[in-house]
Amino acid sequence: MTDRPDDQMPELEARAAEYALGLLEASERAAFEAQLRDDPVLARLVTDWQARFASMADAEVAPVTPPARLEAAIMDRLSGTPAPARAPLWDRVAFWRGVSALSGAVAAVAVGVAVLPMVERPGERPEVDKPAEGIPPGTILMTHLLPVEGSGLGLAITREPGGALQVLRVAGGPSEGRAQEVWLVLDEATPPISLGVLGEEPLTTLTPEADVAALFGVGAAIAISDEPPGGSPTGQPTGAILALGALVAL
Amino acid sequence: MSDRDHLETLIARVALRDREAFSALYRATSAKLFGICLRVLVDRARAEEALQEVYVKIWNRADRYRVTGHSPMTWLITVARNHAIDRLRAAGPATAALEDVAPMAAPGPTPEASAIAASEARRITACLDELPADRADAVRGAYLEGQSYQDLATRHAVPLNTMKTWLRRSLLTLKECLSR
Repeated sequence: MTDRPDDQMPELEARAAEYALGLLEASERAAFEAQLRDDPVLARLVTDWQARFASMADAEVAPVTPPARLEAAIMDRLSGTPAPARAPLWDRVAFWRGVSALSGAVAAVAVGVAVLPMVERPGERPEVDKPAEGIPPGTILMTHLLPVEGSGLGLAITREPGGALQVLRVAGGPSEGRAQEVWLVLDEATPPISLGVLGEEPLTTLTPEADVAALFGVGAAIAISDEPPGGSPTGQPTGAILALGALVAL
Repeated sequence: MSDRDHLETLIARVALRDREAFSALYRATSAKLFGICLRVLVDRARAEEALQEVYVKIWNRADRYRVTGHSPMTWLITVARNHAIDRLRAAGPATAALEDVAPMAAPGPTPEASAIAASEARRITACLDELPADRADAVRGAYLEGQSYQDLATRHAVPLNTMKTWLRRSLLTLKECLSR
């Protein structure tokens, strides 16, 4: 906020609050949204107001249990949404359950994807599980890998248009005398494909062969496993999953 | 696992099309969101319809939750409230989903900032109470009843411009109180 004169702040704050409340007239609203597009700080003011108003609603509106039939009705509506073209993430790594004694750890995993903003309209949103064919060439794919509980890992993977993978470790590291290997997981029927072993440095660049690079697409999963130094001796994962995530288009 | 972490995990699993997680999320949050739909729409049948649409939206938008930088309950309440208000108003949506409008959304709060936001949230009722009662009512009327400036001016029997000045001042006072 340091780049703005102080006397503009009350005006911006008030606008952000009015926007969050839905009080702006159509033309004012369009102008404000145009401003929001290039102004992350203004967007932050709006999210802060949304949070304040939401906590007001949370504090002041009593919960009312909806009729039981609604849940089934909603589930029915979801059936109309496109079925995933790929198996859910965790089904795809089912083979891992046979590996070592870590099936319990897999069940306790916190799993998810972090999606970076895409410029798009509602209703034209690509599904995470959509097959790779629709990806325009040059799309950057990325995921934040969700750590298995206790692994303490923080990893973000970016796949650049040329096929190189940048793996950034922001937290955690291999346990002593062990290595961390990166895998591409396509579906439950295909054995995971090794993409390489992470180095000691926070940033590792991996360059898959062209035939492997061609398999990357939205919805493909990336997993990190615990392996002996130098990586799995068998070509297949021998240790537990430490982190898992699905690629999304940036 | 805290409630917040639990809900975040559920939303992340919903983004991966996990129906079981969606059911769990519905069971954990639907009473709160139905309360909000009901408060906004008043009519029970309309609120029930809106609630269904809200959860379909949550199902479809779960992969974008993290972009907003919101806590899980803030995100869920904002989706529900904005949808209910849209249903209330014949004209188009009053407030777009921020992640559609601001592709370069601000960075999410650090854990420390989230903790501050949470404690700020708890004080909001106290801060609303510091405002003159009619002004606090105007804030509630805009958020929970979808009232426009014109509606508010009529309800409080003041000229439109007076209402605007009132409400803007009240909001800034509220913000100041929360950051004390």
